[in-house]
Amino acid sequence: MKDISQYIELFRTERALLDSHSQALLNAHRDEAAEAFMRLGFPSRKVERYRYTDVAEAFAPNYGLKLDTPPAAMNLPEVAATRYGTLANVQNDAITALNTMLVQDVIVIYVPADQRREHPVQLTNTLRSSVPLMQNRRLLIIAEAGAEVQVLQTDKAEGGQDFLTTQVTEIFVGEGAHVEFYDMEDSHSRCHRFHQVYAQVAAGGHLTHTTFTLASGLSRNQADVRLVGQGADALLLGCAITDGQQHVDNNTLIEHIAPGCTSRELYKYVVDQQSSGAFAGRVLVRQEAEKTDSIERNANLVCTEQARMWTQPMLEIYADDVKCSHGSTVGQLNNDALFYMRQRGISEAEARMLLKQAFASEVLAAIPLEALRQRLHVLVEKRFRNCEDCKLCQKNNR
Amino acid sequence: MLEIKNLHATVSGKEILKGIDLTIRPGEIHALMGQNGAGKSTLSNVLVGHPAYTVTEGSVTFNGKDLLALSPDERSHEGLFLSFQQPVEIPGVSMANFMRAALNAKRKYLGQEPLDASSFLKLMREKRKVVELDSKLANRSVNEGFSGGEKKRNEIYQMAILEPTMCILDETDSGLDVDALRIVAEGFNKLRTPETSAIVITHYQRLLDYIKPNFVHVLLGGRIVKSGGPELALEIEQRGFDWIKEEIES
Amino acid sequence: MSSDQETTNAFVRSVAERTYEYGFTTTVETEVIDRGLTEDTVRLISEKKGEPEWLLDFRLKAFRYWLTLEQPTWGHLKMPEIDYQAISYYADPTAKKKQGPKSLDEIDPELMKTFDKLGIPLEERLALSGTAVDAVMDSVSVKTTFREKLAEQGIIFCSISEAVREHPDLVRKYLGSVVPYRDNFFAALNSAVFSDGSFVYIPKGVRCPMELSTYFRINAQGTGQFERTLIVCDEDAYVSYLEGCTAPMRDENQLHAAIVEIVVENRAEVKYSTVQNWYPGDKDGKGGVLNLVTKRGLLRGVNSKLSWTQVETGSAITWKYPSCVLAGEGSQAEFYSVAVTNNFQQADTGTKMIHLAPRTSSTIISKGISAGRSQNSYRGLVRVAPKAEGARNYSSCDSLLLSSTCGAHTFPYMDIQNPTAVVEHEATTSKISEDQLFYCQQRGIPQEEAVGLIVNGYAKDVLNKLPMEFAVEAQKLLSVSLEGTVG
Repeated sequence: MKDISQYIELFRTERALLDSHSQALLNAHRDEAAEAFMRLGFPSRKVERYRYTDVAEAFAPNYGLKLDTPPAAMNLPEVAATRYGTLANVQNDAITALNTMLVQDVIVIYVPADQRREHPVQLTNTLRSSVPLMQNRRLLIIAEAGAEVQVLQTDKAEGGQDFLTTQVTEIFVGEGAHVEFYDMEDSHSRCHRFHQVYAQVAAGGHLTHTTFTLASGLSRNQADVRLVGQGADALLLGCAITDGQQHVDNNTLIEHIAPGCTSRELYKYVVDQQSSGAFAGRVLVRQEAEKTDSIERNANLVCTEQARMWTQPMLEIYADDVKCSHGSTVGQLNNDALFYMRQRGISEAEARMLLKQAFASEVLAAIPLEALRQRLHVLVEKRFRNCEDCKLCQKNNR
Repeated sequence: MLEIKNLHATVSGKEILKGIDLTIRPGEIHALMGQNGAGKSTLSNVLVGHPAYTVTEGSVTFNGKDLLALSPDERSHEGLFLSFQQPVEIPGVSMANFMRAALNAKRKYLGQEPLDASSFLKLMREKRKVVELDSKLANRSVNEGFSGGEKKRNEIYQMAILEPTMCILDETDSGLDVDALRIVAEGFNKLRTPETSAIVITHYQRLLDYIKPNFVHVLLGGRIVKSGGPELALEIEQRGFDWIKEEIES
Repeated sequence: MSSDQETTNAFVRSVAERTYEYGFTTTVETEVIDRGLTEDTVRLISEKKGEPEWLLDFRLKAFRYWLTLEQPTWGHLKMPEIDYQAISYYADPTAKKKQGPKSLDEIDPELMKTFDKLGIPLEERLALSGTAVDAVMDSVSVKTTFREKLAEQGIIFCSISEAVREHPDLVRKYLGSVVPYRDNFFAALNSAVFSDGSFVYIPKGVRCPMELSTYFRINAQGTGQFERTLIVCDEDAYVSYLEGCTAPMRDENQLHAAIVEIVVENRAEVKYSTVQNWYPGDKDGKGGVLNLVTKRGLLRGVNSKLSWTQVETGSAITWKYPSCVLAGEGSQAEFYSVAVTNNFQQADTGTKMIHLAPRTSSTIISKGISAGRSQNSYRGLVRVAPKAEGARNYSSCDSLLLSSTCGAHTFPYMDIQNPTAVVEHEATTSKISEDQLFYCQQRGIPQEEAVGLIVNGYAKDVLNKLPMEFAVEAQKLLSVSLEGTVG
C-alpha cells in the first residue's frame, strides 16, 4: 500500500466543501468509498489486474483539485439513485473507491423504455488549467428496455499542464436495449487517466464499447461487462497508438452469466519508440452460461527495441456447451505489401505509415457509428503523421 | 533506354542470374520466355529492386542512370513499373489512398505540385475505363478479395495512372480467361505511347497475339540463350523448349 | 436437467468408480525418518547419503531461504493446506542392505516384484527394447539398468546420489544452474531435502543409443517425494529421456515436489517425455498426489534443441510449467502437453518460453481435457527480450469440455520487447463435437468408445511426439481416464 495519505487528508479536510458543491446522491456514497479506499490502498503490481501499470506512481504527484465548481445540475432523475454505485463496487477496486470518494459531479444519460435518440449524445471534456489538476468524473448511462442511445465522449486537453483524471462509468443496458459508448482520448502526453467502465446487459440487449487511446501519457482503461440476460451481446473495440514514453493499459473482463450470450472483442496496438502497451482481456463463462459464443482478438505491432507490449488474453470457462476462442499476435508489417507499395513509388516511410494506418483501420471498420468512423480515420492518420498543421488535417478538422 | 550488362544475382545465397545482357530501346517490346526456374521473375525482381535479391556482378543503366543505385520507389519514379505475377493483398489500405500516395510521390520527385483530391478522383475515374474496372474498386482495399482477373486488371489500372515508360509484365496472362486476357492486353496497348517499352514475361503465345513483341528471348539457367523475332515465340509454342536446349548442348 | 446431462453424470459416476490400476502398496522394510522439517532433518538426509560438505551447504542455504518464503497462491487451484511438519522427508526401502543394492541379487524381491507389476522390469534381459531405466522408490534409487553398456560411450546414467559420489565436479557445476534454489517456494524446498533422482551426462558428439528412463514410485506412507533430475547434453549430443510415475491409493495427500534441470549445449538435442499418472485421489476428491514440480531447460548452445512432451493424467493437483530459456542463438524449443482432469482433479500447467537470443523459435501445443468436477488451466509465458532479433513463437492451446461441472481455463502471458519478433497465440474452448460423436455412433461405435477415440484424435498432435512405447501407453491411459465421459 503506497501513499494514499494525501487523498485521505484531502477528503477529510475538504469534505464540507465537496459536499456543498455536489449532489446529495454522490455525498451519500463517500464514506463507504473512503473506508474501502483506506483498506485497499493503491494496488501494487502484484494485484493481477494492475500488474502492468504502476498506480501509486501515477497518483504520487500533488495535483490540485478545483472543489468549488457547482455541478451541471443539482436535481438528478430519481432513477439515478437506484443505479448509482451498484455496478461500480467500491469494495474491490481502489480507483473506483477513490473516484467515488472524491467525485464532484455525475452526468446522467437516461433513456426511457422504447425511446430512441436520433443523434448521438456527445460529451466533450476539455482540460485547461494553469496548475497541475486532478479531475474525478462520473458518468451514468441508463437505457431502459427497448431504448437506444449512442454516447460519444471525447477527452481533450489544452496547454502543457499535468493532468490526472479518474472516471467511473456505469452503463445499464435494459432488455432489448441498444447502447453504444465511444471513449475517445486525444489529449496530450502530460495527461494521465484512469477510466473504469462497468456495464450490465439484460436479455437481448446490446452494448458496444469502444476505446481509442491516442495521445495521453498514461491511460488505463478497465471495462467490466456483465451479460446477465439471455441473448445479451457485447462488442468491445479498442485501439491504442503510442510513442514517446506513453503507456496504455487496457484491461477487460467480459462475464457471461446468462445462457446464449455473444461477445466479440478486438484490440489493436501500434507501439512505437519507448512506449509500452498492455492488454489483458479475460472472458469468464459461468456455469449457467451455456451456448456462450465468444471471440477475443488482440493484435499488436511493436515498432522498436525500446517499445514493449504485454498481452494476456484469458479464457475462464465453467460451462460446457460453449464456443470460445481468443487469439493474440505480435508481429511486423507485411514485407510483401511494403515492397509492392515501394514499386509503385511510395517511399518506405510513407508505405510504413499507410500500413500502420491500415492495421488500425480494422478496428475503425468495426465501429457502427459512421460519422465517428470517418472522423477517427482522420484522427488516426493525423496521429501517425504526428502533424499539427498539415493541409490534410486543417481541412478535415474544420 | 535500358541497358543490362553481365547481370549476376543471387537469392538466399543461390545464384539465379548468371550473366544477362539485354538492351531495350524506347518503344520496343521484348518478350522473355523460358521454363519455370529459368530466372525470368528473378530478373524482373532484380530490376525493380526487391530486397530479397542481391546483385553480385554487372550493371543496369536506365535513362543513363545507374538503376541499381536507386531505391525501389526511385526506380518507380523514373518510370519503371512491374505488373506483379501475384499482386499482394493489402487489407485496410484503400485503392484511392494507395494510388494518391504513389502518384503524389512521383509528382514530388518530378518537382510537380501534388494533385488535389478532386482532380485525382477524376483521374481515377477516367483511367478506370481503360481496363473496364468496377467503380466500387476505389473504396476497396488494395487487391483485397479481388479475383485473379481483377488483380491483373488492377495492375494495368495502376499502370494507367502512373504512366511508366518501361513496363515489366510478369506472367500477366497467368490465371486469366480469354476475355480477361483481352481486356488486360488491350488496356496495355491503349496506354502505350511510341516511347513505352516493355518486357513481357510469358509462357504462351496467346498474350503475344495481343502485345506484339519486336524481340523474343529465351532464358535458360540464368542466361539468355537465344534471341530472335516474333517467329521464335511461335516456334516455341509449337516445339517447346527442348530443341533449344539440344541446340545449345551440341 | 437435460437428459444429456443425466447421461453425462451417469458416465462420470462410472468413471469415478473405476479403480486406479497402480494403487497397490508394497510391503518392504523401509527406513523412514521422523516426520518434520528442521535444519537437523536436512543434515540427517545429507548424512544418510554420505554427502560432501558443499552439498550440505547448498541444502542448508536453500532451507534457510525456504523458511523466509510463503507458499504461493497464484495458481488457479484450491490447495489443501500442506503441513510441512507432518511429512517424513526420507524413506529408504533398500535400507536393509547397508550400501544400497549393487546387484540384482541384493535387491529385495518385493521391490523387484513391484516394478515388474508396474511394467518396469529391472532385469536387463526383460527390458523394453532400447530403454535403460533408473527406478526410484520413495527417496532412493533402487536400480539403474544398462549402466555399463552406456558407459562404453562415455554416457553417465545413474542416480543423482551416485553421481554426487562418482562425478562430483559435473554435479557441482550444473546443480542449481538452471533452477536456482531461490527460484520459487517448492524449488527451495526441493533443494533443501531432495533425496534421489537421475543424473544424465551425454558427452560431446554422442547420440545416446537407447531411451533413458526414470520411473518414480511413491510407496511409503506419510512421506513426500523430492526427487531431482539433472540432464546435461554436451555439444552435438542427443538424448531422449522418459519419465513415468505412479503412487498407491492413500486417503491423505502425498507431496511430490521435484526439480528437473536440463542443460543443452551447442547443437545438442534433448527430448524429455513425461507420462504422469500419480494417484489422482478418489471420486470424492479424497487423497491423491500433490504434484508441484519445477522443470526447466537451459538452451545454452547455438542451434540447440529441447522438446518437452507431457501427458498428465494423474495427481490430485498438478502445478508445473516445464520451461525453456532460449539463450543460444538459433535455439529451438517445443512444449507439447495433454492434460486430462477428471473428478476433483486440478491442473494448472503450461510452459514458459524465454527468448533471450536472436533467431530463437518456440512452439507450444497444449490440449486440455476436463471432465467431472475438475479444473484444468493452461498458463504460459512467452517473453521476447530486446536482443532476441527475429524470435518466433507459435502457441496453440485448446480445451475440450466433457461435463458441465468442470472448468477449462487459459491464461497466456506475452511480453514482447523486440520489433522483429513474431508471436502468435490461439486458443479455443469447446465441448466435444456432437456431430463427431453421432457420426461414430451411426457407424456402430458405442458412445464411450467414441469419446476415447475422439479424445485420442484430439490429443494426437501431442501423442505423436512421444516415443513409440510411451505413446501406446499414453493412449490407453487417456481412454481409461475418460472412459464414458460424455458431454
